[in-house]
Amino acid sequence: MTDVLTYDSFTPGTELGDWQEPVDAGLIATWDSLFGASEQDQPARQTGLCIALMMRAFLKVVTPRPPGNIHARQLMTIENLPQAGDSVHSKIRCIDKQIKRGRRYLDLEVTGYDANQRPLYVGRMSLIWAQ
Amino acid sequence: MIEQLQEVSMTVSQENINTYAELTDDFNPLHVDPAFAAATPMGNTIAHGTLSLNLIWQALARTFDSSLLNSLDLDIRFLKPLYAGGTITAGGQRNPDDPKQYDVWIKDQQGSSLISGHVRLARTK
Repeated sequence: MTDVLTYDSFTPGTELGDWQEPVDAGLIATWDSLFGASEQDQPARQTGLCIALMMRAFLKVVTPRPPGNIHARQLMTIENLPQAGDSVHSKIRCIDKQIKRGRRYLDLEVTGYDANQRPLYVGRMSLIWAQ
Repeated sequence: MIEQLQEVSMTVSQENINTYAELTDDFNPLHVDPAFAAATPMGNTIAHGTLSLNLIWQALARTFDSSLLNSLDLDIRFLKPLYAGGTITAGGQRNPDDPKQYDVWIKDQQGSSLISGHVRLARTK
């Protein structure tokens, strides 16, 4: 079994890995089941799926994690919205880490592209790492 | 010039949280395991912060032309947890100093801010 990724495992500036998956019918149906499937909300769905894909990439690549991490802050730049069927390639890197008030803050960046290398999103998560 | 975003509300059940865990592949026991969560300082399961964020996307989509969500910058902080069964409302107001920027929030039924930040719409007219 791989050791849990602790705060000390991360080095700012390093690539952590990448993950690729399509915006498939299952993801769309799951989003619709939660938030509705109205025509008006379709842009919200696509934007929400960018966040979901960002989280999925992070969780697939940055593993195993200690239990109890806290998502403290989220920055998200949307450059283009992925369409149904698009394959989204996400790259994850550590951009910063620091201890503030005794808490271990870790900043990770996830950058998403489509199959034609068109930029889709850049998400920056500030996480309070549990160990 | 639109001053306020159309508000969007949702009551978030444990079932909703479990479904969002499937959407994001995030099965952190703090979200999906009531027994685990009860033994933590949280005391109960909480929703993923990014679940609530979807209501801000909906508030924007229902307020503006759909193409505006193609290009934006979001910066938000997760201030307080949303417990399973809680009702939240998303909204926002135009920043008087920047016509392209809206201060956005998620509040609970008591009016406490759970999420606060801003969204800058790159192509707002």
